[in-house]
Amino acid sequence: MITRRRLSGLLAVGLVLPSLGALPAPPVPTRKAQFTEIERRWVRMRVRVADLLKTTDKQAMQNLDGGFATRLVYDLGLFETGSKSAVSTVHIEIRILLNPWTSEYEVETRIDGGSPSVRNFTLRDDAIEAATALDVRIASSSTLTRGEQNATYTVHVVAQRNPTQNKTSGSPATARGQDRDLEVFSRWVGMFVRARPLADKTVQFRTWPPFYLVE
Amino acid sequence: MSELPTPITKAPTELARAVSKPPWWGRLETRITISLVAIGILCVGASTWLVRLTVRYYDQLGSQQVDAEREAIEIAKRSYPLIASAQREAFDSKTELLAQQVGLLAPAQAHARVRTWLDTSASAQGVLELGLDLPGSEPLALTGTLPAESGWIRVPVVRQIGEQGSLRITWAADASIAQRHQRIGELERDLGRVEVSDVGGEGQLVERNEVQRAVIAALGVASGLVLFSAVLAGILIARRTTRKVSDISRAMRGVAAGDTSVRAPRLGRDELGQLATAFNTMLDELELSRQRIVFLQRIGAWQDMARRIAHEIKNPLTPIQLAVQQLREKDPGHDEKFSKLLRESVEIVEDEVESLRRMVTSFSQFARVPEVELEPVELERVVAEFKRAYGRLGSAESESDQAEDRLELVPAREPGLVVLADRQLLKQVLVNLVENATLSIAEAGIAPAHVRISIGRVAGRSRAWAWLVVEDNGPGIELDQRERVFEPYETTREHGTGLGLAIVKKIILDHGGAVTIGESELGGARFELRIPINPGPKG
Repeated sequence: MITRRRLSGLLAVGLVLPSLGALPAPPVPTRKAQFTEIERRWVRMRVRVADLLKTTDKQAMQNLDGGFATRLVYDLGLFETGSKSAVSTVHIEIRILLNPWTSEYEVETRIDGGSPSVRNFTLRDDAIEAATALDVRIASSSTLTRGEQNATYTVHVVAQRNPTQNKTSGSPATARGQDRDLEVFSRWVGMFVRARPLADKTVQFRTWPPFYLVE
Repeated sequence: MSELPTPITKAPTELARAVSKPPWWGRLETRITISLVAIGILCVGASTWLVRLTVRYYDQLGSQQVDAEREAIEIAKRSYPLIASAQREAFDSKTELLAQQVGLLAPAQAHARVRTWLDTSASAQGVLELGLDLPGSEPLALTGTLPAESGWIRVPVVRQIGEQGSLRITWAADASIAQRHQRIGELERDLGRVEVSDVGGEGQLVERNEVQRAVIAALGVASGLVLFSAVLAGILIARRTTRKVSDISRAMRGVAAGDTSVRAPRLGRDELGQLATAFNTMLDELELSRQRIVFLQRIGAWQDMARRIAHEIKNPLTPIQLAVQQLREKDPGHDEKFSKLLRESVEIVEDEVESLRRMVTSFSQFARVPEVELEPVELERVVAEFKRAYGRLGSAESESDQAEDRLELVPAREPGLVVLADRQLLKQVLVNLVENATLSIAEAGIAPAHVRISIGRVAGRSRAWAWLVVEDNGPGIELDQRERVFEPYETTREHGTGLGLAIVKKIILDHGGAVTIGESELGGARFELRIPINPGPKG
């Protein structure tokens, strides 16, 4: 049975999809990255996303120096060239924060929801460089096919600074009367919102050239 | 038989042109539709303008609120580094003071002093860890009174004691201060954004300007849908109404073009339906009037001709009769054969003269049917007077044979029914109908004859009518003959003149009534006359 919520979702999708289909997909920029296989067990990727948090960004630096935490979220997906399904994905959350008691910049890194590791930096630039330079295990070697002739891989990176954290409203079933009308109206208005701020800044690229594992 | 006037059925060309079908842009449906669309657009436009103003007004209010909140946040966020700095200075001062105190003591005394300070001094509140490293003694490591795992902000402070010693204290700062500050940061970041539910009900933060645009767009689309629905409904409703008007208009155009048989369709019970019903009733009345006029014109022509014929024939009859009587009287009687021939010839001539005289008499009666003089008369009384005057059915000569013939008068269900009629002519009508019935029964050889007269009120009509029925047990009248029998000199009887029923119809039409023929339950013909009831208090 299709619920009303799902029905309204389908309606919205039906309204929005044709307009989206008419728009050409923007090309994804490319960026160089270093890939290293460690002990034929892991593939490590090093890449810099310095444009995600620049020291020339006055607002960002003002927030950082004001003691406010800056969240950098990286979503990495390893794709075989020509394929649309990811071989492996990595989610990295980095929190960079000035500790006013120690006057040091703390860089807290959490990979795939694991336990955080904290690094302290006296200089802001060092902390920013540490937060924007990724050095992660992107995949296990066993999940990849060896040989250039057999498979090449790229990594799609979506990096966001201070991504917007959406909230879930109350259940529609609990709303009554005018509250429910208001909720329906809010959703109706939501259908006409075009630009939603996903983050303070978003950087998206894929690594190029593709890499492969030697046999 | 003669040249009779024909009714005018063709409408003038000007009239037909005046009621011709209008162009599409001149039709009522088009005009109402355009009006509805124009009114709808006007209303929606005005509503949209007001909504836009309202949204901008509330956005302005929200902007003022945001400015106030931004100022409050700006003030609040400045306190965080001040608090941290002050705390740090306090930690530094307390560590420095302890380092100076310990630096003057021997290692053993220094250890004891540190322990005592940690356990008793109020300044030691907030110490997580303490380390003392003095030359010539084992390093001392102590834990503070606060639990280390409670999520404090660790603030390590190190002081040199002499040239080789050091005092290291890790102070605890309340983490909730930092958390509140982070929350201030989040609020500042979301300032100027509002939460809007998406289709799935998930709240999303959106810039206020974008929400303003989205609200106006949403209301515009909603208003458009409402406008579309309203106009559609209006068009459908208007179309139903204008279709009725078009149907009536089409019927009127047909009438104007000369087709009086056209009728407006049934259009319900509203005013247009009543108009259509009235229009149809009017056409029915017109048709009846037209037929009445045509019949009366034709009867008038026949009456005129009958009058001339009667005059032309009646004048020579008397000289002819006197001449033949003179011939008979002047017969000398010398020749028996001649006398017989003369006598027979005179009798033939006298018989034919008498026949002609009777014809002339009936012609004269037909020609002299007087104009009706309407007055309120009680219908039952007229019928009773007729019966009293008429007596019984059949002639005196055949009294013994027709002993069981019956002239029945059915009592009226509604006594005192008063109609507008000419008493004498109404009785003439009854005489003609009863005579016609009696002669038809006799010619058909049916015995005994039975003629019934009944009266009553026609029910369920806006106009009040009384009915008067004369029916018999004769042979009846064939369906295709029922209209023709009212024409002068048209008769179904062998010896009929064809004038009796024509006189009946003329008199009834002169009364403003109608006459129809049907089949009687007695087996013969049934003549039903309708006469208007007197609208006065008694009627």
